[in-house]
This record gives sequence, C-alpha cells and structure tokens, in this order.
Amino acid sequence: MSLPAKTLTLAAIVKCDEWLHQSSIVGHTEMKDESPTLFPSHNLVIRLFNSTLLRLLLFTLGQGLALTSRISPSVRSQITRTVTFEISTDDGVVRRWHFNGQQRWIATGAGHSRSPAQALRFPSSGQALRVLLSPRCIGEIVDGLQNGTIRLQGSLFLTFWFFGLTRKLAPIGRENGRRETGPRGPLPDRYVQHDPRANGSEQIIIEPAVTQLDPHWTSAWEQRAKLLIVRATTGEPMPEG
Amino acid sequence: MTKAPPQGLNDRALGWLRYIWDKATTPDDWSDRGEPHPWWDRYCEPPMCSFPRFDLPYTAYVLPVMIEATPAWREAYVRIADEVARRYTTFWGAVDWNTLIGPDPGVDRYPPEFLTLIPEKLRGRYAPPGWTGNGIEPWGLQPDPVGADGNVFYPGWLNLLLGMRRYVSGKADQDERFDVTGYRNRQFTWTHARIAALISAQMAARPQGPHCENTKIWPFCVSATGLGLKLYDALLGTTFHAPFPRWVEYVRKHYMEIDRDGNLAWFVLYYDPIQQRAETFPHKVTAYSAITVLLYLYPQDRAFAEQLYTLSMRLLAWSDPSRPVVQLVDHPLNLACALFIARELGDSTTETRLREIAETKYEPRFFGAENDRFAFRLGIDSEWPRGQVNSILMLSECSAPGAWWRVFNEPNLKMHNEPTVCDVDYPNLGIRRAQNDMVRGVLEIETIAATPSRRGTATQFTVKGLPDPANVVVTVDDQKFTRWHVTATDTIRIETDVHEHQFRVAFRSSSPPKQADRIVPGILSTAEPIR
Repeated sequence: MSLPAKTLTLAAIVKCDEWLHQSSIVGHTEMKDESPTLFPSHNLVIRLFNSTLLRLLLFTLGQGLALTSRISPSVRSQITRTVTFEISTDDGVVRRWHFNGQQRWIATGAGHSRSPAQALRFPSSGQALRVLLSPRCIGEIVDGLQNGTIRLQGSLFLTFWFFGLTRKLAPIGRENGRRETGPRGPLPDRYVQHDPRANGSEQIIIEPAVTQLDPHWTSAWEQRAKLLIVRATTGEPMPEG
Repeated sequence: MTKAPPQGLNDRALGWLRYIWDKATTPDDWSDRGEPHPWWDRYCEPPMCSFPRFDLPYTAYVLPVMIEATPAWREAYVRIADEVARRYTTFWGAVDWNTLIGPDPGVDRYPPEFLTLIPEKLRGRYAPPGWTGNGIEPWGLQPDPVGADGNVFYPGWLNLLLGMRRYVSGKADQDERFDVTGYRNRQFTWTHARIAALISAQMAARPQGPHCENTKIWPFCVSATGLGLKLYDALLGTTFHAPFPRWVEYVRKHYMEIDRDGNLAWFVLYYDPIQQRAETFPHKVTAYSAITVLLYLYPQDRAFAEQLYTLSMRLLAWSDPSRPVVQLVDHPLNLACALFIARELGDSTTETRLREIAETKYEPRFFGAENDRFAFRLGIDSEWPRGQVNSILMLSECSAPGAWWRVFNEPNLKMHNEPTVCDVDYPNLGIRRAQNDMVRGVLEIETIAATPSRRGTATQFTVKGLPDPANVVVTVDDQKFTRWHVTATDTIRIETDVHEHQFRVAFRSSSPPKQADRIVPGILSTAEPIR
C-alpha cells in the first residue's frame, strides 16, 4: 500500500471517529465498561467493533510509520535509539513498534514485545480509540495518566516523541487543532545580528565564524568528550531528571 | 514581609553545610588539563543543565538564607562562596561555550527524550538545548564567555553568585578585577560591576530577552539574570534591574497563554528568534516550564510568580488535596522548586503534599564517615548526592519562609557592621545560631560539634566589632564564663571546646562587668574543656 493510500485510510478512520463521537458509541462503551449492562450482547458487539477499529488504526499507524521510516529523511533523523514502543488495551489489543536506531527504520507487529521499554496501556479499546483519535490526543493521555485510567511504562517524553512521529503521517494529537502550541507568527523586537550598541559600554570581541572546536586544542577535545550532551550522541543512556 | 523569629539552623541544614564545605574546599582541577570532582553535579536535567557550572551558584543559594540564623557568623559561607566563584571562571566553568563550537554535528543522533525538547518541526536538524554553538553564523566566534551575544546564562549566574558572595562577605569588591577563562584558554578581565552593567544593557536592548545557546531565549535564564541584577541593586543602590519589568511584560504577552477557562495553555521553555519558533511542552506538562522560573521570578515580581505558581499547581493538581500528587515526568528539580515556592508563599496544603513526596521518595539521609553530612539521595545509585536538586530542596530546610524574598528585597546590610564571630575552627566546631540583638546589646551564639569525633577537644573563636570589648560579659549555658580575653581594640577571644554550648556576649550591659568576670588582656590561660 502506498503512503498516500495509507493516509487516505487514516483519514477514513478519522471520519469514522467523528461519526463515533457524534453517535456517542465510544462514550457509551466507556460507560458499559465500568458498569453492568442490560444488553450484554449489544455491548459485546460494540466492544468487538471498537477493538477491530483500534486494531485497524494501530495496524495502519504501524505500517505507515514503518514505510515512512524508509523514505522520509525527517522521520529517519529522529529514529536515534533502538527502542520498542507498545500500545495495548486491557481487552486484548496490542501493537508494538520496534525502532532500530542503527538502521533507522521502524518495524511493527501485533502482540506484546518481550520487554517494551515504553508501553502505553488503555483500559479498553473504546477509550484508546477516543484518545488516539482525539484532536487533543496528548492532552487526553496526560489527563489519563493523571487520573490513573491510562498507564505508562517508561518516559512521558518518549511518548511525546512517538506521537511526534505519528503526526508525520496523520494529524493525531494536535493541540487545540494546531500542531504546536506557542506564540503564533514572528514575535516583535528580534535581536538576530550583533549590534554593538546593545552591550552598554562593553565591546564584544567577535572573530570569524568557525565550524568546529580548534583541532589543535586537544585537551579541550578530551574534556568535551566527557560532557553528557556529547556522550548522548553516542548512544549512551541518559538520566531523565 | 514579616521576618520569622530568630531560629538556629536545623540538623539537616548543618549537615548540608558540612557537605558543601567539603565540596567547596576540597581542591580539584577545573582547567582544561583536569576534571571537576565527580560530586560537582553535571548529571542533572540533561542536556541543558548537565554542566558542572550550574552546581556552583546552586551551591551558594543556601548561603544568604542561612544568614538569617547566623548573621553574626558568616566566614564559612564566605569561604564556600569564594571557592565556588573561583571555579566558575575556569575552563570547566565555561566548558560549553569554550568547546561546543560551531554547528552541532550530532543533531540527528540525540536520544528521543532530547528531541522532544526541540520544536517538532525542527527535530533531527536543530541543536538541542545545551549546545551553545559558539562560532556559528551570524554571531561569529566570541571567545569571551562573559562578553558574548548569546551566552547570558554564564554572566547572569556569575553575577548572581558574586552578588551572594558580596552579600555574605560585606566586602566592597565589586570593582576588583578577576580573569575569566575563554576560548583556547584566553583570559578576559572583568569586574563584578562591569558584568552587572553589561547584562543590564543587554536586557535593556533586547525586549525579547538576552540569548543563551546561540540562539535561544530562555525565560529560566533571563529570570536568573534578572535576579542577579536585583541583588546587585539591593546591595549597591544601582538601577541595573530597571529593564527587567519590561521583559516580564513581554513574557506575559508573548511567551505564555491563558485559555478561556483561566488555565495556563502554554508557557515557553525557550524561543528561537532566528527560527521564530518556541519550544513548549504539550498540555499540562507545560507547567514544568513555568515552574523553572519561579525561584528566580518570585523575588522580582511576586504577583506574577504567584500567578504562574497557582496556574502550574492547578494544572498538575499538586494543590488539589482530593487527588494524589502525580509526577508526569521524573524531574525532582521541578518538584523541589514547587515545594520551596509553596513554602515561601504560605501554601501549606501544597507544601505538605510535596514534602511528603520528598520525604518518602527522595531519600533524605545523613551520611559520611561520621554521619554528619546530609542530603537527599533521590533514589539514584550514585556515590554523591546530586548537587543541583539538593541545592533547591535544601532551601526549604535552611531558611524560614520568606527568607529568599528578603535576600533580594530586604537584605540585612546592618549585619556587616555588627559584632561578628570569626576564626571558628569549622568544621570541627559548628555554629547553629549567631545573632545580635543590638537593642539589648547581646550576641547569642549556639555552637555544635560539627565533627562529632572532635567533641570535647579544645578550641577557640573570636568576636570582632565589639564597641567596648574590655567590658563585655560572657556567659555560657547560663553560667558565668571567664575563659575569654581581649585581643584587639574591638575583639575578644573565647576559649572553649567542641561541644554544644550557648554563649551570650553582653557587649552593652547596663552594669559594667566586674574585673573578675574576665581574663586580663595579655594573660592567656590554657584552654580546658568546659562541661
């Protein structure tokens, strides 16, 4: 399946989600998940529908990311570590993504990973659909973590990174309909080139631009190699906080 | 603000002081041929704060607030401040500006957690926070870490550190020259006064805020820079802080948004004026960006800091007693800041909830050969406690509420001209409290055995600045005390032992002391332990 075709499939799913929201099916399922129902067979159908839809969504996301990792330099440039990310639900839907930092590609599959470094678990397929297809997906996840309905193994920042990659495919997780929050448009009063009047009575010494540390300053190179920010580019694990 | 009643330093504060004394006074080599001792924290908050320089001013933060307990004993604080300031101006002090030169060659090799600190559209092709990029276009190579267009966090925190040193020492050294190590070990001569003037001018000329890390503007760094100027003004009566309120207005207008429900929608972590993009953490996690500025903003603009604090606590539900405290990201530094500001602002509900986390999760421990050092171990398998986080956590242990605000708004400048305890054999003998009551004319001193194994051994200290030393009356533990003598026109020496004692030096008593109450000047008797 080509990338445009996958994007179209995703768009169809998003449309389907709109219908789900309008008809309150996902929300209805959430209620049924938590309390007994008078119509268990109806509930079962909806659960099956939700889990099937979620599987389709995750399959599409998985394949889409895997394909994109082979053709998109932007995505490849962000696959910098070998790590497995997993999304699962308590009612049995599981999809994992394996990020290969060496080869810079993504593989995907159904079922649990042996030891996912990063796992996001929803209580039900219905809730997972509602969250993943929400325009404020990240916000829903954060809310879920805060109130304990969603469980996270690993780093929240790594989850942000994952959804940043999915947004290369589809607008999942936009904040308030925008891809990024923050100031809109250029801000006034930029300082973007040296102005000798901007330093009071002091003079800034400015020499020609350079592209790297002086190769003859060997002791500085040795000390620089000890910095976490430099070691981080070699694959060394970093502390989070 | 109402000053808290005089209290001595608690055991944790004394244990932390003991530990930072070790760090500050143990020689290590911060030149390009050496490496800082591993207890200097270059591990916290990677990639932007994982440089040992950050631990230096952080270490000094407790000093001006501890002074409220010991305004009449400051020499150990001055020594610590001197030692950390000396390290700040070395090669390692500016190791980022001096070695992270040119465009970042590793933009597509950073771990995902670092990439999320970069605006989404720039990830994989943009230097992360921490890469200072000295030498890139259009700025060129700027070899002086202080005199630079895009490195304000270096002179900003140096100015703050020097201000704290100036405050604890009372020494008018703002025009003394010192060298700062720059690119290829070139030395650049500066003074405290010139640094303050430079960054004030930069703040005035750049409404967006001076740059860090070519080319990012960090509210965190600009706030700390402003705080250093605030302290300089408070100590010297200048107006270098004048541009700061205008920057705060810029922040309100451009670096944050409050949504229709009155919640913090986003707060900028940093803004790049060349890329014209800001990094903001998504959704409620944006509160973590706002928390980073509170420590620095609060003494400068209490109302705005309180607003940001309230918005952040509401987003994270840390102030909601009906919900558990959930830490969305594992950043103890942010929780430490929030805890401290909750205490400063008198938000006892939030303070209690966050303190519970600190007490149960962050492993407060006495440690060391004599179990006399104290720090939070933070659950980290490391030989040494993390300095940056502990420095903030310990602010809550080392000061009365409001002390941080008072340092910058109501500094105690009188203490420099009042009787002062000196020549204490620290860290054998420690001082829990040393305070003058100038109305009653009494100096009260509480000593401790800071090194327990030296308890009972003979020691001595002096009291300087006494108006009439020959006529003081000294008591120890409410008993008449005679083992003191006059050693100069304004000084007495007190002989004692390493132990817990309460000294009282009445230097303006209503009735003159009897001759038998003191040792005759010039006749030194052998010091004996006092029980």
